Amino acid sequence: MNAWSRSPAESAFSGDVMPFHGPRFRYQVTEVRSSWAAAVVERLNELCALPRGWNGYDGLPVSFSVAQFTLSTLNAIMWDDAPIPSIIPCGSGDLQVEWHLISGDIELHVMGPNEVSAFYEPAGDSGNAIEMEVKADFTAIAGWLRELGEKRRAIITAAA
Amino acid sequence: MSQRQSTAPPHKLDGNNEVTRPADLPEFDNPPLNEVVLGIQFDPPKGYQQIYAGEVWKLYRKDFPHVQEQPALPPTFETFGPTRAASINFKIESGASHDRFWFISEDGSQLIQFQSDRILHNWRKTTTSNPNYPRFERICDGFMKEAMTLEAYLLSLGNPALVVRQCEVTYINHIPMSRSESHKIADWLSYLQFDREPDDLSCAFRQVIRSASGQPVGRLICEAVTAMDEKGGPFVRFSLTVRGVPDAPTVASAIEFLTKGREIIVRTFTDMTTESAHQAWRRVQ
Repeated sequence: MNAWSRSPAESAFSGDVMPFHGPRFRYQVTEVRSSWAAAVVERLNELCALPRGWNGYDGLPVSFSVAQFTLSTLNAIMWDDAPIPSIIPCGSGDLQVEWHLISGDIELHVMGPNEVSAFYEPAGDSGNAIEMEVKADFTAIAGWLRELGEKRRAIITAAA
Repeated sequence: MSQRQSTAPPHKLDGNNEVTRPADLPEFDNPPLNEVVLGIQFDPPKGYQQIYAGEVWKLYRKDFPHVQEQPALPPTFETFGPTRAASINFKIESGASHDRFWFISEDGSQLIQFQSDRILHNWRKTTTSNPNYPRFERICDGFMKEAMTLEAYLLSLGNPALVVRQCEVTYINHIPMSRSESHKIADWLSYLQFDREPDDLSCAFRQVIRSASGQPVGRLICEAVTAMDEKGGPFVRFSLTVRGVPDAPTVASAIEFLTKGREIIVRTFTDMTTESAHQAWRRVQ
């Protein structure tokens, strides 16, 4: 899998040159190793392949650009063993990414690339719920996720 | 390599919406530039289908009389968070997909790349017909007109204005090398120092670009790799790309982003190359 979304894909003429001394490592290549990534990629592929009218009305499959943006977003905020979210199609080519954990809830409505509505509510603390619009910087969402992950771990440990 | 942050002063389009060059931007008479790519990525227009691609070619055919079909490029987005892992791409496994079309100029030095969610313009150096770099301002003005022409056509099909999601500018330099020990990579690229000269090289890094208010808006991606030309001549392919989100999802805002991106690229190129290289490339300011 291509590690860096590199520009030379757009270079129309790069085929004119060859790697020096023949090595085939011009660009870094990594495999999907995170536990979440394979599951998310599989789910996004399913959602992009939905038939039109999948919801019994005129529902559209998730658009490829929304799916790719979602993957890029999750890649920016998830760590290796981060809780895997549910991904739900919404009918207009958009989707929802949701974490419903014992420690609280996070919902991201990805309406389009750079068009995300985010919601956060710690468990039993609706007074501290937060809603915000996000374009490309998901640092705050990553903070919510880490907080819920740590609280969840503490709850599970205490219960054990 | 450490993460640095690049910033550039805000760019202005002049009253005629033409791109102007910042007065203090470093300039070279004979840069090792081989290719320049400008591009925007937008929401696929709902009323557009691949069968209209011939109509799109007609918009540019006078100056780009040749056409080729290529596989589509996947959408690419720069997003930001604490994780710095390499990005992941996936391929859609079913459903209709739109090809990418190359509309090529008569002399082969210029190219428009078009697919349902992208338009790009490439310029490349050719030894015969077009050896001189026509300069960013001219290429960018041409690209802006091409993007606006496409937008007008899509409007005529009943679509809204283009919703631009990402912009990208790339400069690809070919720095000729010799196989002799006296001709070292560090003679050209100041950030690469080796005790023993490597046989070959592949080195890349990314830096976050922030807006004046400190928000991350894009990335600089810099890559150096050893390569050979068709005659077996070794060179370093030194490419710099700026990609990110425009302030507003419009063509005009995208052009501002590209112009700002060019400035970051030229300043970074100047910082990362040596004084002796600047002399060889005839730096004039």
